[in-house]
Amino acid sequence: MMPPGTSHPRNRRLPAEPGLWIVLGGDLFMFTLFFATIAYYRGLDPVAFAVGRESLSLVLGVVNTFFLLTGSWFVVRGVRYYGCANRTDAARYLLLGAVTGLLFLFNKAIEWSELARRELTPNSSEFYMVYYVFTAIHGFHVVIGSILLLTIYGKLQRQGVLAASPADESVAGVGLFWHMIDLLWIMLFSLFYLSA
Amino acid sequence: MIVLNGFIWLGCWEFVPPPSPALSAEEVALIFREQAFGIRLGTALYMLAIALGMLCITTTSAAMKRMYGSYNTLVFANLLIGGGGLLITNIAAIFWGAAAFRPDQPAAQIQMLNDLGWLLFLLPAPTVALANAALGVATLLDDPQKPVFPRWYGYFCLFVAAFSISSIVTGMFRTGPFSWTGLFGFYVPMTIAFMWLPVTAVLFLKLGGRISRGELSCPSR
Repeated sequence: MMPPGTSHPRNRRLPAEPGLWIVLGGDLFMFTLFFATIAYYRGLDPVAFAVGRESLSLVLGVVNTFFLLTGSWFVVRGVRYYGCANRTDAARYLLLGAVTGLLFLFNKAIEWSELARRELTPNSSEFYMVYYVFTAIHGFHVVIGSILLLTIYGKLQRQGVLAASPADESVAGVGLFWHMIDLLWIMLFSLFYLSA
Repeated sequence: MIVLNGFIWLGCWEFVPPPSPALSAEEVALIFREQAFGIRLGTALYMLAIALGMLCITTTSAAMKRMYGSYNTLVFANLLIGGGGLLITNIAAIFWGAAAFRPDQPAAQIQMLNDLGWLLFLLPAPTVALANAALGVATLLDDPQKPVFPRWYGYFCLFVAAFSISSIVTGMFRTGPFSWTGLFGFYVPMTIAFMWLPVTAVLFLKLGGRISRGELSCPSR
């Protein structure tokens, strides 16, 4: 049960299969457009953004960042244990990763309902427009990522080790997808909660 | 498909850029009064384009039937949800046609028909996206030794599905990037959809070649 990382006998190349990078690269490109949009609207109306940031709960944002970072750590462990065919630990850590995703979504729902209770909707100002839409799109990614992790967890529970490649690589792929979600959240967190 | 749609959107309707949802009823009515014939013609041609589009969906579903295991749920999802989603855009075009059918009707009425057209066209994005996601998932689950489509295409379909959805927010904003004249309301989903078409067309031509050479077993017709 060594903490692996060097256990892959294959040559070091692009992690996961190349096709997956269409999704990752495309996603990163789209989110770059999102960040540019946020910056553009902030430039148009810095006051609305300052007011908007004040209305967000920094605590909830930090808690969500904590959830996703912890989730990424779980997923790293899970993928590595999977790499050295340690089924039980891989399943456990991937499940924990999915749980952090669900906690993130639950926390997000609390945050949104709190804002909605104060009648701050996407139409309230341009800050809330980009805030709601982009965090919703990000949340959608978290939903997909959690479903993927739970699917792998279910498969590991039922069949033990997944069939060989490419299912093998798909675990690493889901891991990468999860890290991307984490990265994008950190960008959104700093744009909405810290630097408005 | 691309040429026909380009002609309809740019030549007949002249809907690129789309008429802003922030325009007054009079301004919207003026567009439909000045371009009445073009819009009617565009609507007629769009019926043809969507018939062809639905044929494309049946072709992708038929290709999915050749995939390993050919999960029926995915095939039917592609066929029904994709076809249904495209059919709804037919109704959108009919609303635009109806607005141009009697250009002398009250401006508020033309504005309402125009709104209905845009919302019907853009809001059901998740249906077509889900059809694409089904195609992507089926491609990824296919036999890796003898795939119908290359695996990267599966990921490509998932990317297209994920980012063609953003137009579902067009019903909430009259200005800005999420309105139906906006970057994420209109241009991004349309660009992605029109990127998907040529890529898919090329893969289908290759698939046709492989089938006629007998390189691919035929589980069902």
